[in-house]
Parts: sequence; C-alpha cells; structure tokens
Amino acid sequence: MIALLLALAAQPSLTLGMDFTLYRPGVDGESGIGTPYADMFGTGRGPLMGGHIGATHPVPGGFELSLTLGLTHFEDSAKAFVDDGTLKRSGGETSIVVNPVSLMLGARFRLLWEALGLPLVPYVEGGLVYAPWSVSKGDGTSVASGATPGLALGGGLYVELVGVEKRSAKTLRDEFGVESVALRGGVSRMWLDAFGSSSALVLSDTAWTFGLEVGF
Amino acid sequence: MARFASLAGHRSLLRGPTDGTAVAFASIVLRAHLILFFAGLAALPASAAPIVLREGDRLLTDAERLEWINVARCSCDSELTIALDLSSLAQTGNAALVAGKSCLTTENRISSSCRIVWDGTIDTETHTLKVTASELAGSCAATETKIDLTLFVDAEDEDVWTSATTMSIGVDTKPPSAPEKGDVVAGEGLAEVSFETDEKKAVQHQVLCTTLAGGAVLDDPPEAVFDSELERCGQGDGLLAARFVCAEASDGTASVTVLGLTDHVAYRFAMVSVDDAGNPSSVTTIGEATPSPEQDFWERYQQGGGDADGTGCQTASPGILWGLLFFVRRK
Repeated sequence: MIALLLALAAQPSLTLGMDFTLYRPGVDGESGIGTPYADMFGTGRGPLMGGHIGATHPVPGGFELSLTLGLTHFEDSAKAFVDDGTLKRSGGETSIVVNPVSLMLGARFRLLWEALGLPLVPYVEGGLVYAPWSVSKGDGTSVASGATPGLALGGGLYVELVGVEKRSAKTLRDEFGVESVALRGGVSRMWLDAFGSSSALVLSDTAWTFGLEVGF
Repeated sequence: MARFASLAGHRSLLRGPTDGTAVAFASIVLRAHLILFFAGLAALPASAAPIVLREGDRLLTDAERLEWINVARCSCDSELTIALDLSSLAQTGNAALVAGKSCLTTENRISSSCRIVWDGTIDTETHTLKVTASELAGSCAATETKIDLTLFVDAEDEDVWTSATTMSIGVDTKPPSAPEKGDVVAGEGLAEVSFETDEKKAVQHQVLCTTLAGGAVLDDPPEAVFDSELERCGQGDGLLAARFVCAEASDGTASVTVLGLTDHVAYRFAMVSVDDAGNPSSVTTIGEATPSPEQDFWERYQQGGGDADGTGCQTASPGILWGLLFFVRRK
C-alpha cells in the first residue's frame, strides 16, 4: 500500500513520439459493396504517419501506465476512372485522406529493463480513435467528408536504446533531461466503424506499427 | 576638348537629355525631404543615388535589374530610363556613363569596346536618358552575362578616368531548351499534361491551351512568367501570349493539371519552358484532349452500394455517443 502511494506520488514523465503504421483503410470490408477501394487505389498499404504526446506513470509491480494523445495522417490517391463503364483511367486524380486522432491508455512492463537490465519493455494499449476523413475528385475539390469513431487495441515491444548505448544515454540525460529513448514495434487493431453504424465509412484495419518515443 | 578625344571612337547612345524636368524633380525631392524631416520619420539623406533605373514609370528593383535584358526586350528595343544625378559626385570635371565590361584601360582611358550612354560636364542637374536594351547589351546574340553601367569621372580634364559608381545589369539572351515531348489525358473538366525536359538550368514550365478554333480558354488565366516578343512588339510565336496560359508546373514536377475546362469541348495543348530572365523556349505542341465525366472514388463506392454519410461530420456524433456509452457500461 505504501509502495502504491509512493508510486502515485511520483512525477509523471512526459513522452513525445513519432508513429508509423502500414495502413490500409478497410472500406472494402463493408458487406455487399464490392471492392471500390481496391479497384481505385489497389491492394497495397500506405504510411499512416504522425506523432503523439503523453505521460507515463510508474505503478507497483514493475509496470508503468501511459496515457497518450496521437495524431496521424494517411493519404492515398489514384487516377479516377473514365465514366464509361470501363476501368480506363482518366486525367484527374481522386484521393482519400484519413486523419485519426487517438486517446490511448496503456501499460508497459518495465521489470525486464529495470530489474534485469534487458532493454525490452512489452506493452499493451487501448483506447478511442476518432478519424475525420475526406474524399476528393480529380480537380482536388472535396466530394465527401465525414468522421468515423472507433476503438483501437495494440501491443508490442519497446527497445530501450538507452540500454544499448549507455554513454550517449548519460549525455542525453545530463544535457537534455532525456530519460528514455525507445524504438517501438507492434501490432495495432483499429475497429473504425462508428461502433457498427451503417452510415459510417469503415476504416478498420489490423496493421504493423512502429515508432520512436522519447521520455523526459 | 581633350576630354572627349578618347570618346570619339565610342558608340554614343545619347539621344538628347530631357533636362527640363530637372527643376520640377528637384522641387519634389526637396518637399519630400522637408516632410520627412518635420515628421521626424527620417533624417535627410546626404545625397541621392547617382544612377536610378526605371522601366516606364516603375523603378527597377535590384532583382529585376539583374535579369533585365532578355530576348524580348533586346529584340523589341525596350527602353530603360536612366536618371543620372551628378550632384552627388560633389566635384567638378567631366563625367561619362558607360555600358560594357571592363571599360577602363590600363591607361585609365575608356575602352572602345564599351558604349557611351551619356557624357558631359559635371553639374547639379538630374539628366534623364533613354537607352534600349540592345544598345546597352551591344548585341542580341545569345549569351548569359552581366554588363556594368559605370559612371566615370575625369576630374582634371586630362582624359584620365576613374570609376565613381557602377551597377550591373543582367543580360540573358539565351532561351532555354523546349520541353521535348509530352502527353495529355483528359479528366472531368480538366486535363493532365505531362512532359519531359533535359534543360539543366532553372526553368518554369507553363501550359498553353486554345480551343480548336484558336481562341483563349480561361477567362482569368494564370500570370504568364514569360516575356515574349509577341506581347512586347507583335513578333514571334502566336501562342506566346498571356491569354493562352492555362497552368504552370510546380518546380521539379513533370506534369500539370489544367483546371477550368468544359466537358465535351476539345482543346489543344502546348508547353513552354521559361528561364529566370523570362525567356520562353520554342513552343512544344503536346496534343488535343476533350474532357469528359469521370468516376472518382466516392462515386465508385456509392455505385457499389456504400451508404456512408459523406456530407460532413454527421456520422461522428451518434458514433461518439455510442462509443462513450460503450465505455460507461463497461465500467
């Protein structure tokens, strides 16, 4: 109990990070509509990139709780089709833009790093995502826009770089107050379908996600 | 008379001073100075700049001066107005305004390879001169260089000259190479023009478009970055007019989207490269295209039966409510 109170009384650490996810909006997952996304943009994935700001707070048991606010951006574009029933491409470029904003609560297991010196920190996180989106036609004007809310769940591993390069870590801590620099790799599942609403554009996906986070 | 002995072989560009404006000009300058003084906005300058360049009524900026002589101005004999204020020299003797490169010989004489724009006795008047681009450059042959416009002084009337002040004027009479080839694909109310170029120097690319009848297409075309002989003196390629500009490529891109076209109307497209001095290349014909309706992603989605609300953020509101309820119920 005393340990818990001491832990909660400790100052939270500020974190800043960059995030990179290989994303593909799950528009075609909506039943009965065919594959409009694949038809237009292909089947490949594109970068969903952005950053986050957050705070971490140690809790007993070698864990750390995290709360992060993230903003990311995704854009895909392709030549539109000539409107003659064929799949011949025209000169205009149609595009979709998705800007997911997330509020995530997470838990990080730091015992491997802090007790055993192994610079690996497994994590899980989950939270709310709100994804404004827009679609534009060939001349760049928006033809549709909306926002799809949903949930996200993810997990993976942080690699504490300060554990790999200790001399640089000391310099970063002494000169800039940086306590932690970590690379992140994991899997993220986003249920972006407005909780099942039929009037929402489905943007769900399961994707590999990577990032770099600095803790102060 | 000795002072003009060495000038006899030079090509004089003097075409009559318009000194009648000097008194009025001095009066305006004096009033302006008094206003500034009493307003406390600025101290009176010690002297005005001895050489002021204007194109028409507009003062030439330093950047404009360094790109001023181009193909169109040279071929069309565009005039530069030079206001020469000798009072700032604060000395007596003779003065000569000379255009060229390395205009002083080792004996401090004015080189015969340079052009005398004006010469005379140093006085307190402002001399207004007009000189054409080709006279300043000496030739309109293709070149990229700078010439100096130098005010020389011969204080002792001994034909021994020293430079009082000088300013450079850019000469670029070498047009860039034209876009090599291109293609045009129509869209809905637009056309995408792509092209290739091997021009190494910094150039911009503009699309020129016309109706099949040769008329202009856009009511409010983008500003032409080229300075054409057609616009200045009615010579040269008939397409190189500002009214035919339809779009311009962003720096480094090799395709341009021309917007504002009408579906089911045929257009002709051409491209031109333009260098920093405004010199256009020869015009490269790209082809013809007729815009027609296209199917964008949203139309494709709706055609398949997708019924998401795309009219704004309306879908978000109930979604958020449901999401919050979901969390509250879990707690």
